[in-house]
Amino acid sequence: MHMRIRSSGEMRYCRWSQRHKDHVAANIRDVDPDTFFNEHMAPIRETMLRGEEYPACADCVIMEQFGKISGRQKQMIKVGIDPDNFEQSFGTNTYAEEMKKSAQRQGRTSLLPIDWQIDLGSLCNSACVFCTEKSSSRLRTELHKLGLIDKGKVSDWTDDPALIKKFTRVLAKTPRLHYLHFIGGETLMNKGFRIMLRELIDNNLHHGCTIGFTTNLTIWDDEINSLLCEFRNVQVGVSIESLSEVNDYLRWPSKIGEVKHMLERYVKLAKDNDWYLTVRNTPTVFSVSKMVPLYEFCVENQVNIESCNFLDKPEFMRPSVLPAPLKNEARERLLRFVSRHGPEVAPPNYNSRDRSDTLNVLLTDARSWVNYLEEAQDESYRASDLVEYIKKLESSRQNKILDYLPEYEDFLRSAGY
Amino acid sequence: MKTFYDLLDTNRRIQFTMRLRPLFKELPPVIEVGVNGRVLHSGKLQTSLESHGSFGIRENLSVSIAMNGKQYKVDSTSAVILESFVVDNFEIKDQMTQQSTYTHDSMSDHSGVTDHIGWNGRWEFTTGMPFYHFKHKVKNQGWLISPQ
Repeated sequence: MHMRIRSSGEMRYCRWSQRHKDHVAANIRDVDPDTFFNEHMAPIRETMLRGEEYPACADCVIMEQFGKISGRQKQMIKVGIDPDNFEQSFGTNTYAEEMKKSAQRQGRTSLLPIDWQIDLGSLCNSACVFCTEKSSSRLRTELHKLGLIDKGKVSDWTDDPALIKKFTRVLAKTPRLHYLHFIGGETLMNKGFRIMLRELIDNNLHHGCTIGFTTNLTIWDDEINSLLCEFRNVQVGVSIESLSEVNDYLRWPSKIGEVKHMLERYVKLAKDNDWYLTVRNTPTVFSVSKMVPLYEFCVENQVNIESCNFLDKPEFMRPSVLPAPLKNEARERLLRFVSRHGPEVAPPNYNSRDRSDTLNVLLTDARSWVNYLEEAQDESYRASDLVEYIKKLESSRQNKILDYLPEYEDFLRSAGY
Repeated sequence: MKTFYDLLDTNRRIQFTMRLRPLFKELPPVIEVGVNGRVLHSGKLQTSLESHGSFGIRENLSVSIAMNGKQYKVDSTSAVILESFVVDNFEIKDQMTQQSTYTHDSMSDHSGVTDHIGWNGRWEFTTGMPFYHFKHKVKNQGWLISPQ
């Protein structure tokens, strides 16, 4: 029921799939999305129906290992499968009959995806230190100037109006289209977002469909906001790493004062329109120790957090690169947050968008980071790669990490900073 | 790992454990307790009852407790309390009492939302859907999406 289209127009079976292990891909320029869903994804369905693991699902397995709610679990509950009682609940999942039909047809299906992640393109006004050149045009330009990457040719699929038409034609013929989540680059900078919202309204899809999007809290667009008001439901993901100045370093060149002001505007906008707002942070080696005030903000404002998966790439930005003392300190801070608000161990809430249980959602997320910091394999050997990379970025940005995190001095100096 | 066909085995059953406690001074309550049409207890309930059973994964769970022959003037306290109902390790007593119906012979209009069955009559609860859909709903697990 779910699919992803990436900035390049490349389609994938899942928004959480590990790209380098997922060998089933096709570009919307060459293949229709419905053909990809029905035909190209058939071998993946067959593998799963045989009860075998699909290698590109490995990320979800890692999330679950540390008690973090995985994409797999989030999708399971949408069809009535209880992750704690998988075998018992599987038989009554709402797609059981469709799975049977698909099994009889070698993994093919006559259904269409009703839940999409749509990567609009890489146009972005931010150059977050943990981002990649594929997802941020600004970072791409910078890395090219620094000689770290070839310029390459980047072509966002939403630059081509014919491809947008091709895509929305599939959406328009999808019965009970349910959820469309848009990301950028920066979603609000991408013209494709506005065009697609209008197309959805023109095709009368706005009454039944929920729109989700992620924004980096640097842009406010009244016209987009009023288009969104036409939809049945709206879910806004706001990207922020910390309420402290280190956010300026991480989400360069944004300024935390302006970002906080924008955050408050979005909290109010969501409350006024009964939209669902969630904080989408990407914990890294530089922010994992600074997350607690953000959790506290969320407790106070009844906002859920859905932190991104434990970072896959760049590897040297993973929190597991921290040396033991800094890792322990970060873990202790998170533990203090957890014990201030609840028990250290409790059943997780798999519905990370449950607005009636915000505190438990926040605690589930925080506990998973505690587990990760305690149990994840030590990757401190990557510290020199980290230092090499940030030194290059800092030479272009004229900033210094130690102005934001002086307590990291010994760690970074010992790695060549 | 089990295949998809193993997981769709229609003979799979869901286990439950129900605990009832009698209240009385002179006369123990006379009750009939049924789960999905099967009688688990019929007659006087002198001491606490713990009953185990199972039902099919596609069945709705339906529970009834009927009390008959209570002599209000001899022992007005005579009653039975639903203490616990656990299904696959998940306690649903609170959800049951919130959604129960109770037809009884009291002149007053007592609410059906109770775990205390103290009037002659019949207390009933049904999930109205397969158990794991019910659990999804009461745990506020969000969208339950059906195919086109």
